[in-house]
Amino acid sequence: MRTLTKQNLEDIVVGCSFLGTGGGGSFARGLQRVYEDLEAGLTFKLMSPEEMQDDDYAAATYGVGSTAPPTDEQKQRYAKLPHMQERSTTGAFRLLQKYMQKNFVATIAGEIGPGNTIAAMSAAAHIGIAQLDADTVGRAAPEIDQNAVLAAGLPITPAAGMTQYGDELILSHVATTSREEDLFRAASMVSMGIGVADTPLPGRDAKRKGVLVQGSISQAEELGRAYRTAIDKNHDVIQAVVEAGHGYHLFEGKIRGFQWKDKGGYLVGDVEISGSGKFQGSIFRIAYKNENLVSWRDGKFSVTCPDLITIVVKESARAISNPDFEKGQEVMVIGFSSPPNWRTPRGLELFGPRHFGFDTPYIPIEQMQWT
Amino acid sequence: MLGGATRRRDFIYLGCANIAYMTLGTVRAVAWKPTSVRKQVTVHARIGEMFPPLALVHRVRDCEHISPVVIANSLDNGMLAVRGRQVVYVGVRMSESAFRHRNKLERRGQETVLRRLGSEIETQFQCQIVQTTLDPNPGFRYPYLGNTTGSLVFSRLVIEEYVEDCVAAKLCNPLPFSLVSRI
Repeated sequence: MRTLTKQNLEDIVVGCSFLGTGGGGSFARGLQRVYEDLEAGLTFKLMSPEEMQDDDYAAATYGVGSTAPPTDEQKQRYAKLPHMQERSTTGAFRLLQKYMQKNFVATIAGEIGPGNTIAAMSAAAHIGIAQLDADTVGRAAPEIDQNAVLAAGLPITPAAGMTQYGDELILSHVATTSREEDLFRAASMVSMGIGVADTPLPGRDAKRKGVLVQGSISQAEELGRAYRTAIDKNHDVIQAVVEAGHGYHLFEGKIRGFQWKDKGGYLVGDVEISGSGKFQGSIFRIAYKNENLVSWRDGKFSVTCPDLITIVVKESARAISNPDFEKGQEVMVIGFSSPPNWRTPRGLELFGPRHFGFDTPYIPIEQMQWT
Repeated sequence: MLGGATRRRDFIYLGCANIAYMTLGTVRAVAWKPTSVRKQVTVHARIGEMFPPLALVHRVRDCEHISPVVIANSLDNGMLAVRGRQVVYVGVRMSESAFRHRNKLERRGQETVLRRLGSEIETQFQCQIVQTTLDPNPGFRYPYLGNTTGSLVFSRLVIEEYVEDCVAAKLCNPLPFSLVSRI
């Protein structure tokens, strides 16, 4: 177990922004949480799953909701409700702990993203436990189904949900895992988001290979460290991040157009980039559902989920959060390999392109050819 | 919704003591040529930008002991033709006391930064700021390249030609703005 410094945490937030693939919560909110918690004297601890006792428990905690900005009508509707002092993710974790009556020693990040990973880490800091150096996805993902624990054949219930107004929900059992998604998302749509705690895992399962995506917080930290070092040394920042993540340059060009809508609590849209430099004359398109999922180059499928597709602003090396595009913006598209957890038949069933309705088989990013 | 026009980006340095300028790039201030009558403008500021242009970051680092303020001047050509609009990035090095040992500037600190930048903008662009708005941003201190002089704070300023109707429309729809003040 190690105590994370401010710099470690800043690195993690920055690294998460690249692994968030356009989603994963707000960068500003994530960093702000870190600073507020540190200034409140809280301690962030990171522990390996190997350090858990077999009967200790850890659980994932994260937020569910659309990344689309709230409408004026929504704001007015909920403004008069009482607001909890505690964050809803922390509240949901405590609720699950109380319901299960187990010794919870750590939180698990529900995904890797600048807002949601920090939400889990912050919950751990508030409760006084550690964050596992692991998560349930290895990147950010739109649906609860994209959970590596499910892909490993384990249940993710019981689950707890808490709104920012203090409403408590316990799902002791769901008919199918997608029902957990449906039920929490329905609650989120009438609450402007909801904090969720699920995937309670005993140490004996958390340690097993192929259950959690292990080492993912450290991986984010490594990307953030590469970013910081490149700034310090005046090196190519995007290249440094790509190298640190053993990633790929997929495309480069200018944002040509984009569209999005809030559909059933998800931010759904696509963005088109017209190529420049060696990509001159080509068009790259990315479709997203909260997170970037599938890409096409000149009409043909390119990199798809579960591999990671991240759009980065060239001039600032900022990983773009959907749908924060500007027409004419110069961008670079980079990609990273998905964790092995998702490359099994069950994993692809939950997180392959066909799961989202795209009629193409998954081809690992390493096997793609670029010119 | 978030569309904009293609940007061209040039850089202007502001030297250390308030008014000494050192131009390192081509200044393309087509709509901002000094004239005898100062153009009235509005400024919308986001203080504490975590991802400023890297070129600006590099320039701040390279002149850390001579220049507390750097401006990256981007021309938004599409909007410029319509109502005169520029997006400007600024880096300011601030002493530790300004942060009160915190990692971000409180609202009052952001207002102080904005006032300081406002006078620089008025001089640089030969304009008169008639209204400022401040983005509800956390006001982050840049976590990199701090030195014994202090830490960096980057800001993104949108400078627009003042048009009565346009401003009135903004005030009727204040969603992005948390502070409106008149200088």
